[in-house]
Amino acid sequence: MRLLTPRLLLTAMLTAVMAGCSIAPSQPPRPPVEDRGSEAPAPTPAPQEQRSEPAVVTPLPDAGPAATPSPSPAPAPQPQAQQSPAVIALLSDAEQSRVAGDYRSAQGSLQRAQRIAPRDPEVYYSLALTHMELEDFDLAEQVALKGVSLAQGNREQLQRLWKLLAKIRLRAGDPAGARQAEAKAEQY
Amino acid sequence: MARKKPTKTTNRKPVKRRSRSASRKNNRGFISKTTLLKILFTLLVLVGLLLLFLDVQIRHQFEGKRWAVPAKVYARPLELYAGSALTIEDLKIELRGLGYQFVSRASKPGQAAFSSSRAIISTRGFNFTDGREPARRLVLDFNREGLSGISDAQGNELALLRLEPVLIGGIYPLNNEDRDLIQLQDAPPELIDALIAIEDRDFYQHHGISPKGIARAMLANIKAGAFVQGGSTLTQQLIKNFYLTSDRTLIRKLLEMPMAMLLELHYSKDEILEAYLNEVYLGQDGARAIHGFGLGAHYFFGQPIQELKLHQVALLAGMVKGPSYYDPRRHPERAKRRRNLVLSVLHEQGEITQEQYQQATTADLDVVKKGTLLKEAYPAFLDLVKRQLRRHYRDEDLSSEGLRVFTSLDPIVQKEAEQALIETISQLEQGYQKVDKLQGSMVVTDPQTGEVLSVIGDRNTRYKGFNRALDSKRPIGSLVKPAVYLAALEQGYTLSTRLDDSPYSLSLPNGQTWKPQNFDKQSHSEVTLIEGLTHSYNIATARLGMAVGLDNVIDTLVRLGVRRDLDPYPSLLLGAQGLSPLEVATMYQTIAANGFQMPARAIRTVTDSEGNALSSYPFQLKQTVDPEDIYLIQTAMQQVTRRGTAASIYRTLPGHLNVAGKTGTSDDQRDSWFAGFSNNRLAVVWLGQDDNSPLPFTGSGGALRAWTQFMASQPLDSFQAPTPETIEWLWVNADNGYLSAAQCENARQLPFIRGTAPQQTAECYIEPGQQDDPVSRSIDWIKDWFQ
Repeated sequence: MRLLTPRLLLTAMLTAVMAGCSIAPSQPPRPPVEDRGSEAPAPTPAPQEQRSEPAVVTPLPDAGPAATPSPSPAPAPQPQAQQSPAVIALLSDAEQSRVAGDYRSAQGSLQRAQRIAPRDPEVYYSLALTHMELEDFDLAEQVALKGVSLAQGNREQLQRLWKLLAKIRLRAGDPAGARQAEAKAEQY
Repeated sequence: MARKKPTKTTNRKPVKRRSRSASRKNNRGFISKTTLLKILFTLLVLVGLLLLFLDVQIRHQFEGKRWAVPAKVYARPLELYAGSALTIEDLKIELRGLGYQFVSRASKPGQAAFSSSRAIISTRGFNFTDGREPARRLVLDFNREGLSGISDAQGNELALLRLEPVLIGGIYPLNNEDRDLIQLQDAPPELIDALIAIEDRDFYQHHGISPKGIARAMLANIKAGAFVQGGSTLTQQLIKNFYLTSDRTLIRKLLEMPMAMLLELHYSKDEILEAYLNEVYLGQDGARAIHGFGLGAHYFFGQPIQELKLHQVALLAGMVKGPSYYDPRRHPERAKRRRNLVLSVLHEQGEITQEQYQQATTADLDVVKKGTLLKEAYPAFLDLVKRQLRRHYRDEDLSSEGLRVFTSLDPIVQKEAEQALIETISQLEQGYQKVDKLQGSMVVTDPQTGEVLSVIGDRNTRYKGFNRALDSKRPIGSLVKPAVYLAALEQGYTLSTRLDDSPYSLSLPNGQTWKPQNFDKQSHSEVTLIEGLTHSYNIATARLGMAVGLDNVIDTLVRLGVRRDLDPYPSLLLGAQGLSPLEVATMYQTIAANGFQMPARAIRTVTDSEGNALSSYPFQLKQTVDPEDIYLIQTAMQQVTRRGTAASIYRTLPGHLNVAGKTGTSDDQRDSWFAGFSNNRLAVVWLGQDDNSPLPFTGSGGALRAWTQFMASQPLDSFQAPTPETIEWLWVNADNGYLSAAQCENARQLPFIRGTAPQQTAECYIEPGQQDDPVSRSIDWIKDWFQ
């Protein structure tokens, strides 16, 4: 009980703060996909205050950049990062094909997955891996970078993707680039 | 034609030569028996040779590739999975396109039954490159968000499956013959019965020609006093259509019979019948000739042949006699009489029961309207597909090898895009008396994958002529501005950099003066960069572009994906450059996809006729713009839609949905453009007149309306730019761009690349460490509490 009380208190306060505040990077872990853009990166004061400022332009306009710092205490519901069973099935098909060495088939499954979940970094990770196995290193690198761009805020995914980029660059004969990617991976 | 010529020559010339020499002898009044025998022998040898020649010809053509089979072009298959945004109405659109019959109980393939939130469909199955999708009965449940669950007939939940793709077109050989090959077992038995009953009763008995049939026809013709019946067997008809020309010459008639007999000598009745089913001519669709019952079933009933009912097959069999005369679309009554005649013959011969006869003769023709068929419904998209295919395939392979081309066209998106464009055009024509020949085109892509979902090249969407989406090159006006501003951001400008919007003129090398003006004819002295784009100020943009350098702007345009040669004229900065809607889509896609340039892809895979993959067109991309710069321009483009020139969007779209875009109006309002995107849809709309006359509306008054209507019909995923790590959001003064704070007047948040924050500060600005607002205090307090 003694342990629980402060935790509860903390949770309540955190909730209160979060309700109106854009949160700094040191925030609770959140689902990896789809909603990074909606997470505020700036340690700036609460958007309610922004709204309370009479001189600030109408709330609607500000919702634009505020796709990041949301102007409303309850940001627009974003699709959860939960992978749909369809995507899980396709990723697993692709994995099986890849293990069996059937990279074309893996690529087919992953492109299907990409159409269903085009902002899931996992899909790009697997696709980049497949292109690497096909020795199409340029495309593998670009696909992995696309994954990086979508994984912003998801440290685990970013680390995986940069490690993969290091591997791709190494196999492509670019050890310096590989080292840079390794260093990037270590940041997460 | 070509195949017939040698036969003619062999046949005619030698015979004539012989007869001339004979007549010379005759003149002398003496022909010996030996000479006669010689002549006869020679004739026999010649006939023998001719038959031998015909025989070789017949076998050669019948055993080789019989027809040039056009490539089939398919739409994307609809993916069904729980959680998809598909509505029950969308599903209906798709199934109608596939020719499904909507019934109360779906029991056979190609049938669907609907209740308010559930669909039960019986699919046909399809052989995809990566495996077969079996034909099965499915239960699909829908809720407000879309498809909520799928199960099979046994109640097992299914994670993911694909419907068969809609066939949207073909690539035809020079003779424009289209056909969809079938095997004998695909044809309903009633079709064979009807065909034999009405065309060639003795088919299974004769050896290619039917004396009985000829006698019967002659009798009928004498009785009627006119030519009402021909005595040709199915075999003869096949010979006529397959090997000979349709000229009604004696020589053709003379060849037809021995050839028919030779064909029967070598091949079984089933083989001959199957060839007949695929060869028969059934109608004309513009330049395209409809051949074979497989295609006929699709062309007249919108269904696969296996699913046709008795009254439908009776019509097809009846039409063989005169496809144009009995065309059920042009002469429905005549066609119905012919169909019922076929049915009565079947009934007389005991092939169908009285009940079947009654039912079938009273049934409607059930022919689908031409305008509802999806094959050939998307000429503009097909045009794009063909151009992409021709980079890798020869024309003759495309039109003859039966290739299968799987594309990304989404018939549901295309339907909604067409509706939005056409309705907007007619509303504008009603609203403005001056325009009556308004034209439009549109391109829709998926900005995440680069796939083209829909293309419209003309307000008459089925028109096969000029494809404006690909071929019209019209000045893009302010659509170019994001590239100008992006070039500036790449040079170190920030969103809050102040731009000079005071009157500007530039002397050009040709002695003219370039003097850009703002749309409202006002100048705004100084504006921040983000305001310049949001309100599309021409002067500020022109000054900015000249400061950044035309070469840099061109370089940015190229990296955004513009492939055309661009002239470094100052007017480029305000969109004097002409581009096609597809080029604009490619350019905006790079912005929507966070700086990754992707070619607009319309094709996914090409397979041979057996389904073996020949080539695939994988997801291709290349990062050409830094994510930070793209993030800034994306932010500015969201302001365009929130409170700039495109703010009217939010009269229709819900406020929580982020979209980004830009309006475009060319000089003298000759072109009305809008290009914009959400996470999952990018659409470019162009409106204008072919004679290039001015419009009474701008980009926001015209194209934006069609764009908004289209986007509102889509299951939109709000645009979210992933925030790069090096981006920080700061408060700045909205007017002068100085660093400010939340509590300050006129403060707003803008993103900056770390290290580029404004140096000048607003009056009430307080250094971050000295802030004294309750929220930061609570954060600090919590941090302390943790440590």
